[in-house]
Amino acid sequence: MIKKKMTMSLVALIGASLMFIVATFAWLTVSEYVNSGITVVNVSNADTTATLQMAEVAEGPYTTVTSLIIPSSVPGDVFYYRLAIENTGEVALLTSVYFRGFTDAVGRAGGDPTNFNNGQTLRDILIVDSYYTNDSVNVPAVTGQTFNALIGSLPMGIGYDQAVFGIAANIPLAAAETEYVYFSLTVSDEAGTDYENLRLAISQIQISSVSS
Amino acid sequence: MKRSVLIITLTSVFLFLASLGMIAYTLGWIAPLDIITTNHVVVGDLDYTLSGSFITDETIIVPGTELIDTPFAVDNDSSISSMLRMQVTYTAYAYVGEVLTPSTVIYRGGSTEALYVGFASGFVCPEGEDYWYMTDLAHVFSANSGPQDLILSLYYDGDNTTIDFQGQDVTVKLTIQVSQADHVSWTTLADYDFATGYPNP
Repeated sequence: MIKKKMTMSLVALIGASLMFIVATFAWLTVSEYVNSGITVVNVSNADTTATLQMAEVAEGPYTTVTSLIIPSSVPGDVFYYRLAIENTGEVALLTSVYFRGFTDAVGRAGGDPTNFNNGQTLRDILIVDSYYTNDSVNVPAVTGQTFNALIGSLPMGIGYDQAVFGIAANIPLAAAETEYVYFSLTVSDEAGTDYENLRLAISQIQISSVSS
Repeated sequence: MKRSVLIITLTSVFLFLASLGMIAYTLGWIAPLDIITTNHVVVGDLDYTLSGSFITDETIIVPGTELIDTPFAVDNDSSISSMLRMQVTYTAYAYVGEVLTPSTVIYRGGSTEALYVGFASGFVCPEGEDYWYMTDLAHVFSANSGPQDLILSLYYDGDNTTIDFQGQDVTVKLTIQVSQADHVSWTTLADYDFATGYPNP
């Protein structure tokens, strides 16, 4: 008896899902608006493109790069980047930028691995500053915090290779508009030789958006 | 029976979540992610290869005896720009009252110093400093700058070494330090010592 009821529920759910998809994607109409009989559903197109750019000084000029690569740095070095985020869709968005997944390694394969073997990590000395533009107004986001400070405590069972932190959150991005997220990475000038020959891989810079 | 219920329940949950995802995506609640991958940051390291040596310890010397067997030099294969400095200390003798007293002196290239050090071209000891730098305090060796001569010759100068040195022990010490940037404290790369003495009767 129970089985029969659940089977019927399942069939109903599949049918409802199918009907919704058919209606939403307008397979049965040529209109941009789909009248479901109850409410009018606006079929929206939400999409963004993001371009990473870097500069030698904060004021630019910025040139496009495919990824964030700092092959060799010393304490006190500052590296300037920005993300040009364009809303190529039709709806206003709220966009956030995250750094995700951190893996430590030896900087140069033939170099001295002592610091890495001692558990030293660049997460302790890489400092993030960021802000974003909103209608040409600069909005501060992160000010002078290390990767580890931004990551905070990790949940049980989660390693730094899965850790995440945000450098800008909920940036208003109107349709067809481009906003910029500026961020800099500073190698702390307080870092000593115990941070030599270390490498930190950042698996993803993630730009995610939701409808505002 | 229980197995069937479980399967149906899981299928229902999956369908519900899939429908929710479809709705969210369709209505623009969620836009596709933009992801930039393959990012990394490296803090470089210093990689100096040293060469050079003093003559054998306990060798009996006289003023003018060359104390360097092989000229001191480095080969810089560092992946980052760096700074280098040297200090030479030596034993000098002078009477304090009527007592012949040894002292350890930092070599600064004065014309009356008992020691002569032939540094490679370009090294200077700035006023008030205890170390010898290439050109000036701020000189930076670029990454992978390659071979660099440091000290070519070193001996006690007969013009300034008095009879007081006769039969005395002397020690000469060369310290080479490197730094990866102004912000980092100097690290001693190497210490070289030479010590000798006239055997006591």
